[in-house]
Amino acid sequence: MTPQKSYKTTFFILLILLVFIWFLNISLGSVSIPFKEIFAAILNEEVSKNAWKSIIIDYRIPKAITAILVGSGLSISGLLMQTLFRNPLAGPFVLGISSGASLGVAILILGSTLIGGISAFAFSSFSMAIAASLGAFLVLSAVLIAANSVRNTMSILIIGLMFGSITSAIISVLAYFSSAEQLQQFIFWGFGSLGNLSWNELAIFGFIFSIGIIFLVFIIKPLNSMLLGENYAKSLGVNIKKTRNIVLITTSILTGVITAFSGPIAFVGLAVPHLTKIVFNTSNHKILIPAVGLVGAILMLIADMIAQLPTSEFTLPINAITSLFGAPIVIWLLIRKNKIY
Amino acid sequence: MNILTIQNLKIGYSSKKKTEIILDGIDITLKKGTFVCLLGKNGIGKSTLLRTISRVQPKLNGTIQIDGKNLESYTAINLSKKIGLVLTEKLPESNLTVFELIALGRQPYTNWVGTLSKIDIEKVNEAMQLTNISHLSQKKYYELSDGQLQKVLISRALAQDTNIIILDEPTAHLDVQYKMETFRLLKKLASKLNKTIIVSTHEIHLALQSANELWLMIADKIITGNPQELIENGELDRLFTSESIYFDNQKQQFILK
Repeated sequence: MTPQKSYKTTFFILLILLVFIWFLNISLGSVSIPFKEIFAAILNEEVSKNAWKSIIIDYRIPKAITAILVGSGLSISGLLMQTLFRNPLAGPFVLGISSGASLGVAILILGSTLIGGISAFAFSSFSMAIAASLGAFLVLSAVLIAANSVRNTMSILIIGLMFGSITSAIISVLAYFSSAEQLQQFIFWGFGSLGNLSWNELAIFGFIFSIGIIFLVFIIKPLNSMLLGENYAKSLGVNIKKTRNIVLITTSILTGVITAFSGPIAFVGLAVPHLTKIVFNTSNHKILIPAVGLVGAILMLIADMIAQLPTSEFTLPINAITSLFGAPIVIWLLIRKNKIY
Repeated sequence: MNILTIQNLKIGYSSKKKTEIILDGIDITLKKGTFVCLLGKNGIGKSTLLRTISRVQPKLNGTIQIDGKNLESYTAINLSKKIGLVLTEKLPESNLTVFELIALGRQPYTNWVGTLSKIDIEKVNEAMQLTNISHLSQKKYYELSDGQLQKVLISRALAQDTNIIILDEPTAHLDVQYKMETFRLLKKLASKLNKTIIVSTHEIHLALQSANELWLMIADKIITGNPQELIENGELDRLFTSESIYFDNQKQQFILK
């Protein structure tokens, strides 16, 4: 009897697709560069124009890597939330966790006049990441505490929305007292952007991201038992509190660092796990976590290509793209799969 | 040796503000391989007792010993190798297949990422054969009928390979045929595999026919004994306080006056 499918072929196809789309992503942009030259730049060989090389090495490749980190990280966070809250509509954005991360960043950018003195330090990307992670952690803990006293899944989502509103309100108050310059900086950050990261920043991003991912390996087994509900999981020897805390920390780190570097990006965390489950018809986290990561990365690269409006000089805010495509997908999923409630 | 020893147990709920005692002074001993039915009217605290014995909720006082060791001294993993549960709560939504669901019962034995060994797969298949659900193996659990799902949940507890299996109202939503099949299955598991099975139920008639021992939970105590003894001593009449029903010893069921 075949116990569990391993989906090796599907993983292989997705991996090839990821590589292909990654190349496609870096070959598209406002400046058209021949394929041959792009390969040369990646392989660090002679490129006929210096400008081309710097566009590819310093702009497009970091952006494509950022897209992969953002897409996979948000999607995995969404999956973790959906399992932890036993709710198919949970996700970092829905539960107000992205708003929490935004609050952290808002306090740094906008609150520097109130706090004063830390502004020079404030805008370093590392402190942004920490502030965002702390904000995410704060809201997620609050939602989790509230979620423990209500069993109804709908209430949990509404509580998440309320926390989102509270953080937005605090951000508005902060904005009201900020200078025009700070406000502009914050608004541009809020549009979301995958570009503009230097290799150094990307290294910090990648480092913090990896810390979050490493935690994941330890919770695959307990997460699977959580599929039966907390009491069954407990009766199987799972330490619920510990598992919940690890999910909490992992999600905060991932959502926090992603939000800090690329702004609050909507719908990816909610939609990708569902899209993935159409291809991978399983609930086993050993398969789902890497699968959701892969699909998230691919879709984010595609979203980024759409945002660039190939061959045009404009780049749309990435947040607009994920919302434009993400929201209809979620609606479609809800209608198609009426067992979601 | 007794597999389960309960002495002077006090069960209930306690919070910072107040303590609500459900029952005090419970003394029970249980031998391995016994099929026990726990009877009592709605709200008397059957689930609380089962949850306390399985350490899902803490006791208020007294001692519970499993295999001669205090319940509290077990680590979570070791306890999960002693007691398997079948609960009333609804499963959260997921894509689990029947096989995967039952295989989760092997978690206390698998490695840190939960890889199933040959032995694990064997145990899962065995559990499915015992409950006659091997043909459902690759179905999603949400495609099953209530009766089939109950068998799957019992298989999951069997795959957990514990000496004690505790079931909270396993036949609540089932039709007569599945109810009878479930009781026959539980009886078989107790006699053939020497499992100790504790079931809370409202199926008095079936319980009297199949259980080795009954625990009658009434307002201030638990009366234990084998079904015949309890009927002869007229203890079953104490189960319900209503004036309008009585237990008919000949028909072995409750009758409206």
